[in-house]
Amino acid sequence: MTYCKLMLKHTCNWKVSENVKLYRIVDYTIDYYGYGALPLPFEINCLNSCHRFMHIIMMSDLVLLMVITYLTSLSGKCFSQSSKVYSLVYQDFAEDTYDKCVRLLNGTHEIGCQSSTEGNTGILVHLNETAVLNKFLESGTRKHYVVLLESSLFERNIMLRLKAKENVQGVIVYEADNFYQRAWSPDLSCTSDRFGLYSNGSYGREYQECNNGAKLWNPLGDGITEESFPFPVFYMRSSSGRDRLINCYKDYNVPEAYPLCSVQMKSHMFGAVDSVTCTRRSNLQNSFTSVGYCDPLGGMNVVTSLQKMTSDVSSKKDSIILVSAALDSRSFMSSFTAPGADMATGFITLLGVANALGQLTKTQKLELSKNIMFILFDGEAFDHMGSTRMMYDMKNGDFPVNRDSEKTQPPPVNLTHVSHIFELGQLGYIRDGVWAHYNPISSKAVLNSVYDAINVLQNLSASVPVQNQSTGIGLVPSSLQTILQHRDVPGVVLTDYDDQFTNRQYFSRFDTLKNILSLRYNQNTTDEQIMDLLQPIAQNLSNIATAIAKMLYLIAGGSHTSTSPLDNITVDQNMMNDLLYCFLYNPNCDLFNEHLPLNSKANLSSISYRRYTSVYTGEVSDYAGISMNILASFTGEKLQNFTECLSKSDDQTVRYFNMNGNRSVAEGVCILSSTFATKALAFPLETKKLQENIAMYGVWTESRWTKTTFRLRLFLLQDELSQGMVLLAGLLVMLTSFATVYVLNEKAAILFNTGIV
Amino acid sequence: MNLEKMQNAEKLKLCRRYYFGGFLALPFLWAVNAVWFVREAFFKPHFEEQAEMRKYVIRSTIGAVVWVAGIIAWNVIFQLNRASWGEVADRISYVIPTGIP
Repeated sequence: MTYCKLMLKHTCNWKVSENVKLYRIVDYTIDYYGYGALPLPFEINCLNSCHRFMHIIMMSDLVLLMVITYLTSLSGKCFSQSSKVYSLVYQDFAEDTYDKCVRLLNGTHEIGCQSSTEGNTGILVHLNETAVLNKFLESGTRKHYVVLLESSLFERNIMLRLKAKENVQGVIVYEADNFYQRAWSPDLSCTSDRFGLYSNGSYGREYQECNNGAKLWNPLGDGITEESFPFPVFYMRSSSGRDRLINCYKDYNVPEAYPLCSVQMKSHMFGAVDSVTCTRRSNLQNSFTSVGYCDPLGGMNVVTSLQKMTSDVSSKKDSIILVSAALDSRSFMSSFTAPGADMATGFITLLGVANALGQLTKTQKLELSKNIMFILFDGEAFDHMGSTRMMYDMKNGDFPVNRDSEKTQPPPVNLTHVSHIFELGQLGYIRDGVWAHYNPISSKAVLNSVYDAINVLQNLSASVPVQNQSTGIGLVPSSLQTILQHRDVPGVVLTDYDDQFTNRQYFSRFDTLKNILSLRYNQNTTDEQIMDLLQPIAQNLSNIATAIAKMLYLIAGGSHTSTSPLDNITVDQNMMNDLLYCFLYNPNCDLFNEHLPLNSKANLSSISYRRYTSVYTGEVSDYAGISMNILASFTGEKLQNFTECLSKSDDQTVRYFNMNGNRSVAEGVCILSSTFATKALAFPLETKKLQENIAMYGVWTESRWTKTTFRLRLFLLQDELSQGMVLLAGLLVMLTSFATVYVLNEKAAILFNTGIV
Repeated sequence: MNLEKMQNAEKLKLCRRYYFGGFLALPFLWAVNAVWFVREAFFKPHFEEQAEMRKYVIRSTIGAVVWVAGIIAWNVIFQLNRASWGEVADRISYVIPTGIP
């Protein structure tokens, strides 16, 4: 209709004067099938002299309008008073009401989900129990379906059956109101084994592939995380969204008769094939549009040293004890939900240990013959990215800081300097105590050191018994597996399980604090009640952390006399309580606020951190950042009087952290600490030597997508006859308007013989 | 340029120029030549230069057809094998599609 307007403009010459009259014909739009709505404001300003003819034109337009109204109303849905046709045709779901599965790639595979470029469309089918599912798998014969799947059916085998049925175009998972937290893990049953200690050659043959399949670490894991789906998979979080979908299905698709409730799901991903391919494509500069296809996954490890790492001493053999824990987690929809509360108890315990040891005086710290280094690995959930990178950096002398001869640097650390490694794994479900794990085929000397260390710990830990791992199993999945591939060092992993995970929801979206607390809270629970609920876990963790701290003190050469600080080393239970509360329940807490960088603009969210490594940026992620500040503050030196609290760029042995403190002082708190952030990024992605390294290292990338990638909307699908009718009506309207305009234009001289033209 | 106003000798000269120009891997010249001079060469009453002009038009037509066939064949082969050629295909691509191999 815009051409009508142009013609009128021309005819009336648009002379605006006092006696301008404004005619406004309702805005209207024509939209065939809802695609490409055309907003058509129709304003006519004209001189009085033109007025007479305007009536004629308006009359013709009104007739046309009526014709259009009539024709389009045949389809019943496509006419509106303003450009709201879209909302009549589609019902969108807000993007934050559902979680999405995205495309991840590694050296050899692509995993995750994606839709076609324009999105996948299908008739909604609601599968809420196995019988319905089986019936659908046999009899669902329409061209395209979108499956609304009840959460208890969401597991690998069923998803693979849906994938095999090629007319399934997408899956939306939802939870019923009375849903129970089921025992299920999306991770592999033999988790993180791909580049593990026993993955190469004949070493530890009896322990390969999870003790030859005899003892699977994660028996409830079905490995859906590592599957690839050619359609989108969304998880409907909002219960109102879920009800809309279910009702739409009930109202229109039972019994199945037109119009049918249909769904469009869009989640088009850019990356494809594997990391090698998509990285190559991203790097090709001849591309016309130069889009990126995927980005490396990675983050930053956080390393801190109990003794200040001065530049004048070189690291001595066996002079460092490493204490490590993994920070991150992953899940089927890592970008949107990454749980792993049980895993988090490991690094929370580590922070507790650091807190206890950090309270030693400066002289007491210096009296220790061995230094203690705490390290929090990022990216461990993706083939141990963090620890793998640490080993690479150690080999190149780039740990804990990149070599730079022009700067004052701490002495480079490598494995020969390390006497012991203690790793804290999952500790959320301590019932009968904790288990100490080690590599059973280490050399005799190493094993003796391991046993000695475990003995010390057992003697110190009265309230939480420490047991040796069962015989016949290899080392549990851990960062230690990565490290031991480079040198046989005495290493112990402490976990809440012996030969299989106690955690029955490992890395599933039920792997949350709520689950550790046996579901004993809901949205009405107050903070005080949460704190109370946390007490038993905090007590267990502080007990084991105290024992670990004392053990570290003794192994590091601390004295065991009546005047020694050994008996004073305790991990405050309230501290553990706060850490658990902040990391797993609500990050907007006092502890975190005190440890934010001074005057930091960022407000802490009230939703617990998603600890997914995500795309490598070279910066610490939110969870690693706050962990780093807390670790620095626990182990570092608090400066009483400081003029400025700024790290010096030429001295990399220490860093100054200026934090909020309890906000009683405007300058905040200044902490001096040997704390470093090192890369947790697969080095082949950095050196661009992917092809030759994919057999040895996990090279994970995440596909790119855009702001408008995700879409979920409902619409009613008409039968093919109606569709044809609407199209035909549309074509007729178009041809009629062409003809009308043509005639008007041809006869303009006669119709508008005003002398102006 | 208006062919009507040109001398026959001039036309032949132009036709020849287009014909030889096409050998510089410029199939469009051949295509234009074929379309432009087909009426002169085949449907106009006889004139002296017509025989030579016919030769050029026919050859230009064949050349253009061969080129088009070649380009279509290459395109089909390339699209069918792009994914399996891997890096080579990516390097000679101008626009690499997203989300597919």
